[in-house]
Amino acid sequence: MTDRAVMLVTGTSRGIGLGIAEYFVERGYTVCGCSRSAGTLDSPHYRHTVLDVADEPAVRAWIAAVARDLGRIDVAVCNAGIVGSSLMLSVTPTKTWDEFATTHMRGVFLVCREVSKVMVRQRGGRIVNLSSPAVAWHMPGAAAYAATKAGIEEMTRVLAAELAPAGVTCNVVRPGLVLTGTARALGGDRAASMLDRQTIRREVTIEEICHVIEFFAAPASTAITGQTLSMCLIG
Amino acid sequence: MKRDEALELMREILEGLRRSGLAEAGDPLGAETVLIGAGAALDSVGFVTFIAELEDRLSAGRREPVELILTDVWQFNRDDPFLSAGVLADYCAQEVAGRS
Repeated sequence: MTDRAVMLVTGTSRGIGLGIAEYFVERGYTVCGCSRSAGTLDSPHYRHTVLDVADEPAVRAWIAAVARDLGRIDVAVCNAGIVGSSLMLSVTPTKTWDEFATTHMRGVFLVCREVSKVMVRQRGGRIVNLSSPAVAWHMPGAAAYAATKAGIEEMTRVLAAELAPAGVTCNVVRPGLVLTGTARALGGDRAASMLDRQTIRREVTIEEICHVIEFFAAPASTAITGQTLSMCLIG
Repeated sequence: MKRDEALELMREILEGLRRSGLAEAGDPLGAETVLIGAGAALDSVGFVTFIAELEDRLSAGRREPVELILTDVWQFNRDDPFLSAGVLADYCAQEVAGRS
């Protein structure tokens, strides 16, 4: 048990997920993170579990253990994702499609399913899922990535409708471009092209993303559900 | 676990939900009690709570957690969902049989 609010975050070994974990640990949360590799955040208020979010038994066991050990889950942030593949859909291998669908959609589905059972029983909670501006860009080469991120957005809206009677809110953050190490690997030209598609043509910081998550998680946000908040982009 | 034990467990859970105000008062749960479908004893959130609690109780003390996969329940028609307590009890008994 803990007197700190409990936040679950997926994909916390690096990049945006690590930044989210650091930010909320500093703001008084106990953060329970996971990733396929070892944890990199050293804090008495952070606990890491090595798992693949698409591994059903592992996700079930992880969320059950957090709920049992800490007594509740106040906020869940589904951040884990993969980038890569700039292939036109016509030549995208099925294996590539399956990788995106597995990590993005199956992973978010499993975490949301298990965490929703906890939150329904505690009659409250916040689910915040991370999407991508690629959903609105229609960029050639991003079919698998963007389609599976769009799927997360609709899954979140349906879940919001299902869980509203239990006092659980579900929302989406669609960040602007963040050049994490993985995103940088796509190349400078691609990054410049992405920035050109944004209304506010700059990268967003991880702290700015955390600010939006904090807004959805705030006690005063109980009436906000099923929303997608786009950063750096109108609409 | 036998069917009657599963029904007794479900009866306890439903009564617990009623005491907590999470389900409306009604007759004690029996094999004919409707869990999904017309005249169901629970609303959708109540049903999720009921199933999550049932999974936890069935899993307690076992090496592997028990997951209730509703589409595997005999007689569960996904096009016109209907589930009675008796049918779910049969499924629970079958799922738990042989588990340690």
